[in-house]
Amino acid sequence: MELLNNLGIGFATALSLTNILYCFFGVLLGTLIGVLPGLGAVATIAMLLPATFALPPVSALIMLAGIYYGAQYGGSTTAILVNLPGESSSVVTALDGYQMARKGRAGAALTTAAIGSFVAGSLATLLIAMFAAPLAEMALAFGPPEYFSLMVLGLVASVVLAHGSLLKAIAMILVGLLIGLVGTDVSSGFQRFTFEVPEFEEGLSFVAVAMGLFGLGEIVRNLEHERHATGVPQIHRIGRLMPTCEEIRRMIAPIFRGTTLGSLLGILPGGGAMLASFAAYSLEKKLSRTPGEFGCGAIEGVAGPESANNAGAQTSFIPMLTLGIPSNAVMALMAGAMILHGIQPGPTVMTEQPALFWGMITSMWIGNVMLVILNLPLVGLWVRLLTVPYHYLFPVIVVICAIGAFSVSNSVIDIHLMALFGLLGYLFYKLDCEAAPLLLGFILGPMMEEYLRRAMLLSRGDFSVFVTRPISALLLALAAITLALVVLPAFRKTREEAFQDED
Amino acid sequence: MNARAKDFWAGLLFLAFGLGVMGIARSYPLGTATRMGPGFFPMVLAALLAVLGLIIAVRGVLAGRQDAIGPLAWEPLLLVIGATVFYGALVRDAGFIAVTFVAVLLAARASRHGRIVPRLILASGTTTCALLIFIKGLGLPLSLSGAWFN
Repeated sequence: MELLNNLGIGFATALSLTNILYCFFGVLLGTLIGVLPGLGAVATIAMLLPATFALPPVSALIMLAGIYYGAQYGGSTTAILVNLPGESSSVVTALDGYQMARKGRAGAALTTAAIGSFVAGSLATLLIAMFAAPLAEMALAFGPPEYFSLMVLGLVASVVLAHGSLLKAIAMILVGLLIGLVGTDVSSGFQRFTFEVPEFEEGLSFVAVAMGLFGLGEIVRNLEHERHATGVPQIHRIGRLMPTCEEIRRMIAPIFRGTTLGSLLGILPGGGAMLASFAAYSLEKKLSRTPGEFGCGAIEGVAGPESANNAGAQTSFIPMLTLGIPSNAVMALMAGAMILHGIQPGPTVMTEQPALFWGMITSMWIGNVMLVILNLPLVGLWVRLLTVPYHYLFPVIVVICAIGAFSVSNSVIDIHLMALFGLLGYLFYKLDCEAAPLLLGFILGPMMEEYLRRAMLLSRGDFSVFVTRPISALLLALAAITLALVVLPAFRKTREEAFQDED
Repeated sequence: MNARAKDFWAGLLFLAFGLGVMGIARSYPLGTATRMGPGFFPMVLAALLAVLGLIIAVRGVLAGRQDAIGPLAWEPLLLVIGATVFYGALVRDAGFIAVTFVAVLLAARASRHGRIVPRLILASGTTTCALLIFIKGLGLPLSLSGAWFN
């Protein structure tokens, strides 16, 4: 009954008029920007982060979470209607969703995506509520060595499950960890890598780094591909929104399978929504009696992945909220937002700020209800947004990013810092280096150093403490096994195949 | 996909970054294993990064097959980054209105599409909206006309 009690606290917070309003704004803004061409969830959240600073922490986090699944959902809409996945996680939705649209069943595909997302979102929210408490309780027993090892495992797993070269991803984590160390050292008060810029004493602005890498970097990237683009996309008629009885019958099982798979994969570091949708698609294809239909508009190919990516998006909050370890770039942004509001993500959040913790979780469910209400009737409006030409959109984004970077601490230096990271973001893209691991490292850098120091202090400088404490040893062993798996040829091949569709 | 030339340059970049950080961190106290100084963690990470960079670069060379990085999109890059730097450099002196207006126009040049009249409308609209939201609404402490025009 503790669960009901906790959910009660949550609903009391989330259902306050202001918080409902911010949840609504978040979902609306997220969908709006997610539908706009060329803007993903990470860029959207990074761009809107400064706008939430003025709010109380609960409202800010509720709004940011709303932006996240709004953007996710908006990405699916564009995937179905114009074959342009706004998100890496909706790439597979485009495969069958767009084919359905070509057959005049766009409306049914959109409804399927909405129902699937809603069911998955509701169940995943319940899952978070059930598992967050025991997990956080377990984490409270962790000492510094366990935390350090947990972070190592989190970082290792996040690169193994991500795509691209493993070595380069690890190098990017190291770069991120190092950049995170800029500023005053907490233990000694020593100034590190500040280059005598007073603004850097408190560390580099997280917003400037994220907006540069994901906002500006992405713009230059999109402009590079501009010449290959083919003008305004052709939008198919939406048709009847209501699926037929036959279609409803066919979507039920995939929705539940997708939800289960997505919830599981979402918890894994580095997993999250994208991996979930890919895995759900191949699962549905394998289970189907008519696998040939996939790619030609099979409704299962929309229902499964859409449920999975929403479930994964929700459960990826679990490691961040209970252990304080962000598992992907979006969660890194959320963790950064919490830190900016003076909340250290980790197991103590739940006990010290129950209203914030449970309010955020229940608001996820409310947000999912809003998504359904918002999206189906308003789909005509979203379609019109799709036709906004990118060349009138991106100059506005550049300026908003500049103002946003400035607004965090009213410093002009942060605008230049963002410009620098924009340049780096593009360079990394040209060199096939993923920027997401860098952001994870950036967030975890200072924490990791602190835990390492405390662990060493406790063990009197004996490094073996990491392998003699059982939980820490187990976590490190898991990290080693994950790494070893990738190096093994068989697994490597599957990993490459799994990410092949995406390119 | 084979990405060897990319690997070579990426490796070199990591190596340079690692060595650079080591160079700076050299002057920070290392401390002991029990009481780590501010130089310990960065030094270890930077050394790891440098080694990793070297491995990536060498593997890139040994792999033989070369995959070029492809031409950089110089114009969009310079204009988008330039518009941002312009914003930061002049917003105090030239004021919010002028800088926002010009920055939109400057960034818009990064695309081949779009005409001058819609761009001017876009710049005016963006400036007006940004003024209402960020200055009037959120109360950002930025002067509208700046030091130059006062």
